[in-house]
Amino acid sequence: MFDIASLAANAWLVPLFTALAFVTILIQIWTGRGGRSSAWVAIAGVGASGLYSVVVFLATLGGRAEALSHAPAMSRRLDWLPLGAGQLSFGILIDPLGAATLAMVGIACLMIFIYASAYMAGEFTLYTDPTTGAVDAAVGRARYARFFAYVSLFATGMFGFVLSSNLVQALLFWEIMGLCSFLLIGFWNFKPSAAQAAKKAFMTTRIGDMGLFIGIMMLFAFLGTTDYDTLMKPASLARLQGIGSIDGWLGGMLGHAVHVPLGSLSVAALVAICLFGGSVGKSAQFPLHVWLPDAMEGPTPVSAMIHAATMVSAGVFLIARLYPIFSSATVDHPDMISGPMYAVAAVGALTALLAATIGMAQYDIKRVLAYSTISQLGYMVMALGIGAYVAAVFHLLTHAFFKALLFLGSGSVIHGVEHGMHEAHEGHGHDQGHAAHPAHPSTILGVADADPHDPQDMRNMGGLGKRMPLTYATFLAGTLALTGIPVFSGFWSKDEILADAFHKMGDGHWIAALVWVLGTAAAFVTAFYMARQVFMVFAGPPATSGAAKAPESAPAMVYPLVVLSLFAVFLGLVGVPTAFPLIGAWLGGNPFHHYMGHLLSGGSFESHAFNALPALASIGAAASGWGLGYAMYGRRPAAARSTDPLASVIGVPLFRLLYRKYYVDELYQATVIRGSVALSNFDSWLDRTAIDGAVNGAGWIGERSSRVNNWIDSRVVDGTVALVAAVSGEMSRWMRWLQSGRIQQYLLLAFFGVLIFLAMNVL
Amino acid sequence: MIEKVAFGLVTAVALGGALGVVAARNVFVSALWLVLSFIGVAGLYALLGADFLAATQVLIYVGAISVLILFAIMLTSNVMSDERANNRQAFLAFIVASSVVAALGVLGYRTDWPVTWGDGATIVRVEAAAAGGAVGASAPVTATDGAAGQPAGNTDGVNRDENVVQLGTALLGEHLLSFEVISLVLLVALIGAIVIARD
Amino acid sequence: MTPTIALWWYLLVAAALFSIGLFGALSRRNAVGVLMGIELMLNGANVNAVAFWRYTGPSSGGGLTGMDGQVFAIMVIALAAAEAAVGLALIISIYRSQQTVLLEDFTSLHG
Repeated sequence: MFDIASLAANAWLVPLFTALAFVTILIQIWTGRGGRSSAWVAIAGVGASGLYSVVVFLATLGGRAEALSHAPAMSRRLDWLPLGAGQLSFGILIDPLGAATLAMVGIACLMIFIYASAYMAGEFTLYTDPTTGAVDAAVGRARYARFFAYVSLFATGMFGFVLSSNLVQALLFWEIMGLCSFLLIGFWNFKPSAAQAAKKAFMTTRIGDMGLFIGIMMLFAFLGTTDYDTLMKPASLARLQGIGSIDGWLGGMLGHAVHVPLGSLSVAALVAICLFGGSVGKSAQFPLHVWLPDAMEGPTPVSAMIHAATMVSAGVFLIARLYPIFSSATVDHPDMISGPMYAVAAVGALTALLAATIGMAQYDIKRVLAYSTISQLGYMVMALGIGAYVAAVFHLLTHAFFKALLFLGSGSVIHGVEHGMHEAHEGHGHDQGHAAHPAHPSTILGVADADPHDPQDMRNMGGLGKRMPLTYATFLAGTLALTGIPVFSGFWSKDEILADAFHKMGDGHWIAALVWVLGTAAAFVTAFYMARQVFMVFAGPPATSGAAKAPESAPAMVYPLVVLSLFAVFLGLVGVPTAFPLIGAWLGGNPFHHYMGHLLSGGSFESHAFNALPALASIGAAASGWGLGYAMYGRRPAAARSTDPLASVIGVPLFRLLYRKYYVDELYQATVIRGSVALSNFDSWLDRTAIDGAVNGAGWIGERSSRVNNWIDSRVVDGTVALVAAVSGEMSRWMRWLQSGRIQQYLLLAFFGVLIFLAMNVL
Repeated sequence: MIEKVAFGLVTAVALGGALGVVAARNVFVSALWLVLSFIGVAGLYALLGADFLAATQVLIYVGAISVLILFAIMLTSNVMSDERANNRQAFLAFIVASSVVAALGVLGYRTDWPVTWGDGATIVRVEAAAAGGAVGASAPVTATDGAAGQPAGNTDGVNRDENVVQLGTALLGEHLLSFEVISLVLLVALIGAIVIARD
Repeated sequence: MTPTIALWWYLLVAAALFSIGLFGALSRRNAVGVLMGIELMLNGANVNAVAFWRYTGPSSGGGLTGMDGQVFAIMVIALAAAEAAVGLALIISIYRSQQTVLLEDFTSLHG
């Protein structure tokens, strides 16, 4: 049989398969053969990658009886670019964190690709010839193929990022993902909103990437390497700590004492915060979260893949990967909370709650999920911030599956409603079809009415549970997982985060208390808005004829949902705390913790004693969230309501505040964007008055002095110029003879020159 | 002694062939002389202990490039044309070329090259140093010293098997980048040649 | 053991090959002849490289270790092959359009 360890050592094949698929599809497009077959190529590529990533994951289990015991890190390197102070290399690094994430990405991407092959079939008939108005099948085929080229490249980026053995390589793949994200969000770039969203996503994440890049450069400058193995060595971390405070470091460079704002912070903390900037951008943490909801302009599989399951996880993965640097002040006790981690925890906790509350007041089915993604990423980030490393990674993995499931489920719903609307339109004619179901009267100022033709607006849905039973069942499984209902996967991971926070709170960390309180509150809000979504979409009578006629989606779309729902339901069982009543010990004593609880730097995490209080609190929060959601949205049919029940409970102004997402976009528009426009205007004014005035004044002086010069010019200078011209004319005439155009003559002259040098040496 | 004779022979072939190339009136005959000169150069490589290079020289130059040149001649010119072969600057060219060879010869002769020929020289140096004598190429050399470091039946100090192995290791090791670059250059040149010659 | 043949002889042969090639490159009317001259020049340079490798290479310490000279020569051979291919393709292409391969007829660079 194969040696499973050596199979794992060739893990670089994982990104290669999808890269090959990308190249193959590109060739297909160039030769005009793109189309259905491109989807097969992409699925084959990601299927091979997914299979191989699972093999790699199994290899890290050791394949022995004591499976799930501490797996050693494997790494391979190839020197790539020698630099003055060090060496950039290209390599792979596989440790439990990387292997588990790799397997997650492989499986989720495979499911999403299969789903997309059916979901994107609309492309074939989407494009019409502008002159004849007929469907342009060639363009549709090429666009369909192009979509799969992009997602294959994206999967390559994610695989490569997870496998990277150093930060520079990771940054490379990170940026590939950024590029694909841009291309895919703006995939329907004929829609101005999609083009706008793509630009926004790209530029917002760029702000964070700048921080990441600065952090990498600082690490390279201080430690001479960006290799994870070397960076995470206790000696390197100690060296980083040894640099001391920013003031001291700058003072040492400049030769005198310096005091800068925040100068008492250690350089190690500065590096960590710069690196964290990258995560804030990529994982859509406050204040750079604004791009993710807009990114829902992309096709739904893109939302599922990039903006739920994988790419946004990359930011969290980066913090987990670099965790020893964040905790380098307390290197011997990795679960202690060191300086930069306070910032991480605070940002995460704030994001978790803010995004969840915004999610309560959204109507777009995908936007609700987008805010829920931001909120859940906030959970992971705050967990890392309080040293709950294992819980954060656990939540990263479970969340990826159930969130991919939810997004794909929402795509299935949108698809169904779209078909239903189309059918209703064909059946009754346009006006008739919607006359029976008038739009909601405008009752809330500043909240847009439902567009009866918008297949994504939840106010146009309702009753879909009966029309789309499989979609409903799987969506419900994902929702139960997300809201943290016991037994479903999300419960175990979310509960572990909150339990860790509670435990740290007992140790007297105020930040842990903040995390616990905000996290539990966010759990309540999450349960509420997800209940709202489920009841609005699936329960009650249909709100429009579109929803009434929505068919169940194609098998290629539904079966991936079923597979993902299995993960959403059962994955959590690998991480049940040992002391959990009834089932904890029976499930093997938290094998996930044993597998994941070690760092590259050598530290490891203790699992805490089980405490019933945080578990009961989170169950209570989830249950009351569901209860409230049922009370407000489950009992009365959606169509019968004129105004959103939430608005009547919390008041219209507060609802509007949430609906407008705390006006963060407007704030950025008013400050950053307006500010830079104002600065440009000021510059322009300065140009026109001060600088132009100075220029004009200088011009006047110049003009006066020119008159004097003119006299000198015409007499003295012109004479000289004429002489020079005459001489060079003569010389040119002579030189022209040399330019005969005969190569051999040039060569002969060149060798005369060589001879002169030789003669200088000989004589 | 036998080496001197061999050297004289291959030199004569190489230089004689080269002179034939430039002296022949007919370009086709020139090409045939060129083949002879290439063979002579291959002999020089063999004498210098670079066997692989000698074989390469025969394969590439004699086998490939010469045939290519002959083809080009056949495709482009009247093979039997007997018109003037040299242009008007031939005399100047002769002066330049002979000055170059004279200057290079003088320079090559006058310069004190740091010659370290084979194992023998090293052994002599080490022994001379041990005896407190002068260290350097001028140390006295005896036949026994030289033979001591030689593998049996091999008088020039080059281990033939290792020669090729080392060359391979060097090409795919420290010179890997140049190796890949030259491969790329070759590929591009061949594609370019096809494109240029086709239309 | 000193070499039977002094390094200088190889250098002289290399210089002679180079100069003969140079003469060919400078004086032949036929473009193919010029190309042959250039091939001779490259051969001269190659002989030089190999001779220096043999005589002054880092041979101390048992056997020849550095292979730079031979690697050089191989690179030059590969480059010569590329040059011959492109050069001859150019000549054939020019012959097609101009019906001549005599260099003195190509004076479009004339200033």
